[in-house]
Amino acid sequence: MKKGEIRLFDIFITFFEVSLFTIGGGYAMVPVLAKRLEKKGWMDKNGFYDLLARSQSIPGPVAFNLSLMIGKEIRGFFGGFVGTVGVIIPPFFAIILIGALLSKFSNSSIVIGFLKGAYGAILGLIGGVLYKMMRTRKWNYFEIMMMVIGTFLIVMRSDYVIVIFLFVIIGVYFGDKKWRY
Amino acid sequence: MEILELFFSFFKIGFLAFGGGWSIVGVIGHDVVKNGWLTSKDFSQIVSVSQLTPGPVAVNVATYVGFRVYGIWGSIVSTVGILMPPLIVIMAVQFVSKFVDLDEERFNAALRTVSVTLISVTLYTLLRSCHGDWITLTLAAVSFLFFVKTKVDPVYIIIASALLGALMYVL
Repeated sequence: MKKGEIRLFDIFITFFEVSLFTIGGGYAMVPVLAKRLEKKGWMDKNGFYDLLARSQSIPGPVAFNLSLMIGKEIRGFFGGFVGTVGVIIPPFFAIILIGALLSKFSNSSIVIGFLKGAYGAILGLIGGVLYKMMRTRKWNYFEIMMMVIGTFLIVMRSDYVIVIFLFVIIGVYFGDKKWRY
Repeated sequence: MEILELFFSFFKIGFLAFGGGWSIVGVIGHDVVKNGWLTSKDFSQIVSVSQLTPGPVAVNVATYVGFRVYGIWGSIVSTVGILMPPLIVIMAVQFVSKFVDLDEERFNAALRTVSVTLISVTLYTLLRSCHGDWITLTLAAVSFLFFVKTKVDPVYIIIASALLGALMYVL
């Protein structure tokens, strides 16, 4: 299929559907989207995982970055635009709907318990994500020191933006050079 | 103008969203409570709902916070605010990469250090806002073990934990 022939509406609907039916954040969407795009012949697996890697090193939710890049790749600027709009619409309206409903039932003890239970699981999962991230590779003393100091600074002082940008710069320019070799 | 503050608060945070949504949820909570928009208890409910709804957690949190603070307009403003930075960065990277040769491996190593830091901040913020509630903490410990030791899909862990929570608070 020639690239120009893909209809914008098709792109929109594809991203809309995938976004609507995958609960659990951006990464839950990844395998579903990869399969769908391959089936439609828009993009093969290699191209997809290339873009995935690139979308991860840019700030912002993976789902959003990925849909923007894929849409752009297969149908130019407007492809990227309709792709991201398709991804964003379902969660946006879901949140508004649930938010409006919830403000009516926020005193019910079942609802409170349900949300507290979910909150507990979320705490556990974030702990788990951290644990897994720490174990994926060896960290050198420099990096560990930066993480401890950084966490402390952000928690104690509210100036997190400066802390983080300093970190990236220090990490990129001094991190590997000084300590790894 | 509170609505402008809402926009810039999320716009600023949007630049920090490296390494998955959890890295910025803590920072959002920090800002929201500091600005007096919501209590930490309200925020913890927002986090639960955002994880149970389709879509990226961080964007859902932004949408919901905006909605609670300023209604529909608030939700639009905060969602756009948090999504503008990635858009700007994607365009800037395309432009800058023609002139600058960035060592990608080194850059990614630096980013990973930042994400671990930010996720630690998120964990700290979220832990603080459950005020030592033992049911929540027990469920957190069990969920952690399930997530690390088994291959169960996280979605099921969350749903099971939510149902258990509902049961325990009703009894």
